[in-house]
Amino acid sequence: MNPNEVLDRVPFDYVVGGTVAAPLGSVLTLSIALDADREFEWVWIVGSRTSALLTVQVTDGATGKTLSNGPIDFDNWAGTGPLPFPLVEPWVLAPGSTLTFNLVNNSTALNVVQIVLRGYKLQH
Amino acid sequence: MSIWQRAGAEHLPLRHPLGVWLIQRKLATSAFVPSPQARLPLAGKMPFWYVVNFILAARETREYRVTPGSDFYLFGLLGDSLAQVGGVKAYIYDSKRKQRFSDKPVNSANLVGTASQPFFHRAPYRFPALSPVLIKIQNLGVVANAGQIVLYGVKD
Repeated sequence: MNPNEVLDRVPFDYVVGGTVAAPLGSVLTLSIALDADREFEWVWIVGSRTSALLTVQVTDGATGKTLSNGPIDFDNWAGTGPLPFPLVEPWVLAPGSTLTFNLVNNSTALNVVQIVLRGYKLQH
Repeated sequence: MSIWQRAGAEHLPLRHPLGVWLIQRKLATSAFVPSPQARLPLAGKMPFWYVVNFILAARETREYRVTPGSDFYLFGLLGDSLAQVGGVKAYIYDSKRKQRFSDKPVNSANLVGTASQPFFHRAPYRFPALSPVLIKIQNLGVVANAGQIVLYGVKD
């Protein structure tokens, strides 16, 4: 990439969600496959859940690496719409990349979750 | 002003000034977050969360450690605990440089943020590969407590 090239950034959200079953320790695995057309510059993490007793661990499908050494409490990982969590240094993901989210319910009630990866699609 | 302003020097690529991303105080936070220049060498590195889960009996103190497999650049600390009464206090120690991050343990409310309300260091701090990071946590309450301290940053 030419460092002086001005990129066209299109605001874009990758969204995934579901319901984690009620029994303690229930697991829900969600994934996001990025569009094959453009790179995605991941800047913020936004999410909602019905109970904070939930952990998340993210795996990058391209490398098979997890992005943490263990499950992270959901509220330590995702911000909210008004208060999003900025990655500080944006991470550019290749077109067609896959991210997998492993969610574990630590409560005894259903947990309705939505995860939003907020950033920009890059157009050269 | 464009949020894609050039970061100081003509040859540097366009960078976000982080203040624009922050949802509180916005550009007023620029003195308290990593500058575009400080973040420039970290471009392309993978975001990473080192998680320390603690379980402490009443008044108990324990030491936890994480060992980065490659150089880890710390941006900030996040955390929570179940028992709000009493809380916990903790300090962090870089065993390679023999460097404490505080002269005394810091109450968790003053040490960690959450994803919604994080605190970021002005200068990312590098933990060299295979250098254990020690985290000593003391439960201040008279009941058991459990929680998590998370070191957020980037690594290769």
